[in-house]
Amino acid sequence: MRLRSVICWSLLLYSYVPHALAATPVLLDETACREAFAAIGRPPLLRAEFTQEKTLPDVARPLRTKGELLVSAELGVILRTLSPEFARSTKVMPLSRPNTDRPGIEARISRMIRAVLVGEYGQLAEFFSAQGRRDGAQLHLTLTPKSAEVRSALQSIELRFGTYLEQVDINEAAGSKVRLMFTGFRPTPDLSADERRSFAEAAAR
Amino acid sequence: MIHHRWLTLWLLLLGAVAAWTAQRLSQVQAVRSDLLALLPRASEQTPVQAALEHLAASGANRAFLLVSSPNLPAAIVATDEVAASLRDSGAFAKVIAKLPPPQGKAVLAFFQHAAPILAPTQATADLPRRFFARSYGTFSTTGTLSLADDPFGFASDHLRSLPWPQAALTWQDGYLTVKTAEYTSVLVILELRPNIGEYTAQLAVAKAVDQAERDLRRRNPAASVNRLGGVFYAEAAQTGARHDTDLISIGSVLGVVLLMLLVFRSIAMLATALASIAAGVVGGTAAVLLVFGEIHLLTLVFGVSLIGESADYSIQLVSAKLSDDEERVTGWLGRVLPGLGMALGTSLLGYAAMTLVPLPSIRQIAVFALTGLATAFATVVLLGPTATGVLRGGKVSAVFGDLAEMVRSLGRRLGSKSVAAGVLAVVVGLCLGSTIRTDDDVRSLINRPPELLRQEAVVTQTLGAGMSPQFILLHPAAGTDEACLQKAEALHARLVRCREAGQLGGWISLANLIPSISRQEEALTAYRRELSRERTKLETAFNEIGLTPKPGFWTAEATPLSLSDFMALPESTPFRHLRFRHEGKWCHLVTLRDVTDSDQVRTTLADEADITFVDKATSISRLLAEVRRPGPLWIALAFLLALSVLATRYGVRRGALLLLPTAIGVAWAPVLAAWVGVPASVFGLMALLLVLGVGVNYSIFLWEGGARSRSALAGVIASCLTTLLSFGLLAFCSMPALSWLGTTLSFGILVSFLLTPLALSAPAPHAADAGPR
Repeated sequence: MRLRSVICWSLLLYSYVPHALAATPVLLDETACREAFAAIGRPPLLRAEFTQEKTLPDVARPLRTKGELLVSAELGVILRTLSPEFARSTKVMPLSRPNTDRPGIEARISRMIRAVLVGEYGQLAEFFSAQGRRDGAQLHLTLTPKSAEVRSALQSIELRFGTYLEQVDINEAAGSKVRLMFTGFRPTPDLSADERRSFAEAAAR
Repeated sequence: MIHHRWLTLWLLLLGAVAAWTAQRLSQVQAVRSDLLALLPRASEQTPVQAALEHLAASGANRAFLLVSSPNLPAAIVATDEVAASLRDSGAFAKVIAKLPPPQGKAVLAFFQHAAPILAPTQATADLPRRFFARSYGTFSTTGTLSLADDPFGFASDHLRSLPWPQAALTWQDGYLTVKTAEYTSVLVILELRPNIGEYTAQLAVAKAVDQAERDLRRRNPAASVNRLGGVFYAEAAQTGARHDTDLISIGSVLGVVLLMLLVFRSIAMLATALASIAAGVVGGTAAVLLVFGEIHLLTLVFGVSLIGESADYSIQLVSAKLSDDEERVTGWLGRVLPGLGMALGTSLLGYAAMTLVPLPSIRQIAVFALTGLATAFATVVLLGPTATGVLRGGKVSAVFGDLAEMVRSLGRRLGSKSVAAGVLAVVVGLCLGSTIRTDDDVRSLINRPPELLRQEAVVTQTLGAGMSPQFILLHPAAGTDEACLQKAEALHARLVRCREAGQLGGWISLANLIPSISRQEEALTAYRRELSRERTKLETAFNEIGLTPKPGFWTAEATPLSLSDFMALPESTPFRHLRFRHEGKWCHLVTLRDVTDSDQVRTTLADEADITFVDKATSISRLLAEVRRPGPLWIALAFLLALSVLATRYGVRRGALLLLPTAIGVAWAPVLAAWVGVPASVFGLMALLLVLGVGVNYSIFLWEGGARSRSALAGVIASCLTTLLSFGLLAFCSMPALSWLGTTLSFGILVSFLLTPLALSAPAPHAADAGPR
């Protein structure tokens, strides 16, 4: 579940990375990562296309999907998988959700996403230690789980930013790898009625 | 000579009983301080009692602290300091601040081959769609079983839905942490020593936590420590009760000593009074230990308040002796004994009525009082003559003599109008009493310090663990895990209905962890059917992504999951309290969260003999209300009974007059107590029965001899003062129920005593036909 929140965090960062980056590779420590994070702007609504490539130990070849991403600073994230046809699905991650039978897990994810939205690096720093590198226009961040609990599921998460977040690599402890690549970023003014309903339904579940 | 032999035998017997009592009290289990011990044990529902005791025992060996600071690093430093301080104290078996996270791998391995038996039993599984969702989904395989082991995610979904209680907590460098808007907190688990039932061990725990908190606050004023655990309540109850018993016993004994010296100036009789008090306390305690096998702190506190009453017999004895000296008549002992016996009889009647209240604690008090007063009386009767034999120069002090004279002259002036006014006072008191606020909450029986309640609320709120005191007990006749799991599964739909209606927030059941074998078989059958139906599509899908199914996949062979096997895993520890054996049969518990409408939940859930919704506190509170409501009838019957006893010696008319001051006391005691904030409760009812039993004594003493002699009348005053002192001190004790009882009792006795002259009213008390028969 933490992985999900970290990916959400990464997706949200997609639109927030500063445009001008230094030309010479520079290693960033925790403090510099924190400062880079704090400098990010926050548009209310962002859309993009994504391509996911998933490599599983039991499966002979990588699994590729394509779809659309929606990030709402107010409501949360929607990942809509459009192809291949048989894998079509929609994943809604609302920011707010009332207590359910498992209040802790759900509430924690909401808290973390909210932390990303308000630029509260401390929330992420609770779970991961960060190291960064600036290479010309690009910024690379590597997040390593601090606790054994998270390490039992995740080895690391790598983020690459260009103008926006371009790529997320998730290296799982069991050997699976997931790569998410983002393109075609565009801000649009409004959510559709369907999207609003999806957020509302997910928040109520 | 014969008398001395009896006295020696009696003293020897008392010595032996005292030694036995002291030995029993030194045993840990003999003295109870918890609420559970105060509640009735429903013999017809022994599994309920067993479940309550099982839950109490499960939580008895642990306590929790939440160490909070504005940020995580500071919270960890604070936690390390607190943990070090607690370890140094030596008060704990173990202080756990850092612990490894549960080995997810062991749980994963347990469910590795269980996918077919965790499949849905009802709706169509749509296996191809589920397979693609699991293969291609962004988060679908993270931290779960592999795609080959669980291609459709049935076992992985089950794993993710396991209701781990630490869901609100996060492991940070080995610390269990939780973050709120203002604080980051770290959970510290305290494992208690095996002797935690002993007060010294409880006190050591409380002191160690207090000290650690003080040291922490001195270094870091922004940090805080909140505690949760029965041991803290037990310690507070024991400390409070000890303070109460000290206050009442020391206060009462000092009062008796002072009064005996001031009023009668007799060391010999003082010794008799103290001996009778000691005999009463020893006799009462021994009787309770014999009958119940244990004694509650509530009983001990109330027991010492009987000191004032048990001193009455000595006071009456010495006042009778001095009265004889005044009147220069002989045979004083024979004359005073019937009156004393009558007084004892009415008191015992009051306490005997208390045995009808359906609470073990109240019955303990009644047994204590019945035996204690009888023992004190016997001691006075046996020891008194010897003591009075050496009584030299005893004389009523002038102040008490004058006071007695005033009461006597007041009584002489009272006539039928006064009696009518008294009856009117009873009616007015009863009318006012009917408007008093009531409180039947059984929790008033124990001292629950507000600070501990506040800290408990902080901990449960922070951890998001709002477990309700209510739970469901599954005790099917078959007594197997399988039968219990089937019951829990049958209950599921009704629990969902309650949650959707907002009557409860959630629940944890062992059926959430391991389905029943019959459910597993049902799932396996449905899974095989689907697998066979969708085989072609699935083979295409597997080829599409390049997955080779594991051997045996298409036949779906699966070994059933066993609850016993799961319970053998170390990771099952948080769920072990949900299962216990009773009389060789397994029983399961379903714990509930955030119950908002207990009655509705009970109605919806418990309509089968082997499903019991347990809400002990509410059901006992309801029982107390049922006992309290017909209270006026009880009291009326008690008055009739007392009148019939008094009539045998004094006749109906004089008997009624003797009861009149007490009737006014009984009618007005709740009104006066309400004036100082005491609600009407079953304890108020008990107090009124005792007012009847004790208050009428003064009328009897006065009528028997007080009206004729300054000494006897001074004795009545002294008796009342000692009783008022003891019960008055009871009003200041820490347990709300005893405090209410003491307040009501004191007001009742005071009013009864002040109006005692009414008992002397017309016809003239000295008339030959109006004297004792």
